[in-house]
Amino acid sequence: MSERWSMTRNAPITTGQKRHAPDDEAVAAKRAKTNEKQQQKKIDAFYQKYANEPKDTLPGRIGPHGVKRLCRDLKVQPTDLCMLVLAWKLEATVSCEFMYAEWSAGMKKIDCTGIRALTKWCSTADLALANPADFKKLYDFTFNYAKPLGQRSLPIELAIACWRLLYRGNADVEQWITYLGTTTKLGITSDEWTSFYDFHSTVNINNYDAAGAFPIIIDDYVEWRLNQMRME
Amino acid sequence: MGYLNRHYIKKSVDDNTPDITYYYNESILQWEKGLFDAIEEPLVSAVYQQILKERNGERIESSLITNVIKSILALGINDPELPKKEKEGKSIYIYEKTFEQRFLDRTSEYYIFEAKEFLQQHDIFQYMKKVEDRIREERERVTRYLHLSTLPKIESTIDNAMIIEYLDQFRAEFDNMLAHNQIENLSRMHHLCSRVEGALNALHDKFRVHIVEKGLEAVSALISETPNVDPATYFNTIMGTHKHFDNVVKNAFRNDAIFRQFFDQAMTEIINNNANAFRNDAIFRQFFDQAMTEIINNNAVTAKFNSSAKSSDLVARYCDFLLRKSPKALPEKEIEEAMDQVIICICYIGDKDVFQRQYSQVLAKRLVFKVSASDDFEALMLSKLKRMFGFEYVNKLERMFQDSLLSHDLTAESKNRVKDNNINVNGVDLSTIVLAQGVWPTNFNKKNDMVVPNMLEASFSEFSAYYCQKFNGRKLEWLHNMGRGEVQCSVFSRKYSFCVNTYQLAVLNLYNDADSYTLQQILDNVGITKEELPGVLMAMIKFELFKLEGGVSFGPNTPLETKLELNMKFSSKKMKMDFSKAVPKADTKKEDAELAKDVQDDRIMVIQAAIVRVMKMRKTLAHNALITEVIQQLSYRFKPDVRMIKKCIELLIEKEYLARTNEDRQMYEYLS
Repeated sequence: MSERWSMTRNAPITTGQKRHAPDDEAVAAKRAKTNEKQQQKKIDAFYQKYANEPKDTLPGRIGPHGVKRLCRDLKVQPTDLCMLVLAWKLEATVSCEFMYAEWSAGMKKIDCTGIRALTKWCSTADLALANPADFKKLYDFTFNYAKPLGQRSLPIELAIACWRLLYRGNADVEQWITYLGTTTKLGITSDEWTSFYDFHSTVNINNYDAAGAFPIIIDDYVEWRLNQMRME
Repeated sequence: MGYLNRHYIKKSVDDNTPDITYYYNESILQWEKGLFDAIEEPLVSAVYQQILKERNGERIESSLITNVIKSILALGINDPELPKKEKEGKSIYIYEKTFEQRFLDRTSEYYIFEAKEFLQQHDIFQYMKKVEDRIREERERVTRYLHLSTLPKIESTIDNAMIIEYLDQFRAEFDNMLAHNQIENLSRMHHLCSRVEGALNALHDKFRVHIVEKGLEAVSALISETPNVDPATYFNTIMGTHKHFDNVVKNAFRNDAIFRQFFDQAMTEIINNNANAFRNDAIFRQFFDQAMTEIINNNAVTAKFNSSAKSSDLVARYCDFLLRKSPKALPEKEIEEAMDQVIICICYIGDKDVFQRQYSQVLAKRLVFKVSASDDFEALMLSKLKRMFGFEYVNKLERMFQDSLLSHDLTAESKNRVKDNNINVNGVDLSTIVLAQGVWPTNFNKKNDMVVPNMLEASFSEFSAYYCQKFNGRKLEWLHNMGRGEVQCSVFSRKYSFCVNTYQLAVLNLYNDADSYTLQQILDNVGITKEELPGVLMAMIKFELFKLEGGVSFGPNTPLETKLELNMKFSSKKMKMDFSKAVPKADTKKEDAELAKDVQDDRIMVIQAAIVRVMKMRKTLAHNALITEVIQQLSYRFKPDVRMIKKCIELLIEKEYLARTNEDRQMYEYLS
């Protein structure tokens, strides 16, 4: 019996030792929480720095002028690819604008609380696109992001700018853009936008089937391009 | 012995005991070994000599041969391949071994020689006849005294000796025969060639090319004679070609097949070529159809007008000629036959929707201007179109016709109402035709702002009142550009009457109040545009009812301040004059472009509807399958081009009726 008691007596010691861990956890959690709070505070401050720009007349969010100032501070052009990647990471819904919720969640995601971190992040942003699946996600995001609100298709000059940005002067894409210049097309539909990605990434122009499922604009482009190649 | 045969031998045979057979078999075997083997060669030779004599036209005692053949066949009972218990001799192995092979070899030699010799003295047509005769003779011979199994063999022997060697010579004459329409020779040649597998193939395309050539030649000849193609002549030219070659297909290429069929039925099943013969015929028909299609959609006339729609336009106008009141009209009996020809012709037209438009145009004019010869014929034509191309195809046409019929009653009823209620309508006798919106051709629905002349006002508003009361909630719009009327003129010493359109009537109405107006005043008072003015005034100025101030001649650029004066000295030999018909023709180029656009717009709608119909049923479908199915669904109307279908698919994706599937962008799914 006594043995049994001694055993039970021993027991609290071990449990007592264990009790220290939650304490540590709590401390860690507390620390994390304060960290989080601090981070949130920094992010909020970061946000406030660019939000509510009087010229934007868009209270409660970062508007175009705010973004312009942000770009100046980041030492990048507003048309730089990294700004598009940023918008994608932040899941921004309107071009050249950031809502507070987007900013706050997004900055946490990319772990940037201030201009220095973000500048550093921007310099490596395009590395995130090395993975084709990520690039495809960004590509799909771009159409809706760049498209003016309330329109079904992307105006042609915006579409061209986006393609230039995404494909960074890829020769084939430049040919495509040259071709678009010869047409009277005013806008790119969602289907045409998505199909171009597939076309560009999978199709060999020499065995293209014009009766296939690609949109007509791509059929026409292939015909034009083959003619060009013949002339060259 | 009978006992042995019945029991012991039967049992041994059943048990397959070697060397024991029935007495009969044994005696036959002895006969074969003892006698037949020894005399076999001279015997067969003798039989062949007899046959040779017969071939050369001598009479022979055929029962002798019959008996020899019978006895050779009887030897077949001992075929070692055959189970012994098969008591009846079914094998023909001795027949084949000793007689048939030699017979066929010699026959082959005979005919190879004959073919050569015959052709040295005769032409190919006589030769073909000879071959045909020989085939018939050999067939008869086989049925008379040889074994039936020889039939296919002897036929192929002749085919090899007399046909296959000479196919090129036959073919060389084919065009010639077609050109001279030698039905009998063509028929014979078709018969001979159809005996040889593949020999007709070379002819099919020749046939098509020949028809196309002839058809196009005829059309070109027509266009060089009469550059302004008359629909009836054009139609008759095309259908003349059709009739001519239809006759060739029927008489030269089919009767033969039927003949064959009867013969073959009587023969064994071995020669089951009749199916083949029919198929060939169908192929000829198919090539014939292709040729017709080519002719009608692409000939000198369509080339001249630079549009394949010209053919259907001319056919539509030919229909108009058939159905319109005219002193040149065909006798009633011939009209129905002509209609059937029209239906055949339309089948060859690629774009049937274009024809439908054009038909609707001429039908509309007939109905509105009341120049249709007979409602019965109109209805008959529509029912023929419906039977051939379906309900949807004639739907609008039928509704137009209904409108016209209903309008007879409406007009009559309205007139009665005016009479019964003593309503003052200024003595205007108004006939109306009420057109349903969206059914009639678009140029029948042009908005116009004509000011209704006061003398018509009462009758117009009376009819409107009557109509709107009868059909509550309907809206009536007056299409003044389509109106016609006859007016009596009491200005001059004689009482003339003029046929005028509503605009002209409105102009005349102005001159009830004064003798002179400037052109601008006319425009303002009548409510027509400057562009419409020449059409309205030209005829009346030409016939000198009006003249321009100071004798200026009238043209589209005449200043609007010029005064138009009533010619008080007007006189004409005719008491009745028609000004309405002298209206200058509308710009045909513009009209064609309008038609093309209408057809195009229509097609975009029709294709989209077809895509939605298919996708609604299939839910998901691959791109190519969808295209195929849509083309197939629409082929009765027109040949949709793949590009246009793709365009429609894109439109539907944009409108969110369809989407590409996530897994495969070549697949579409239907979004409900």
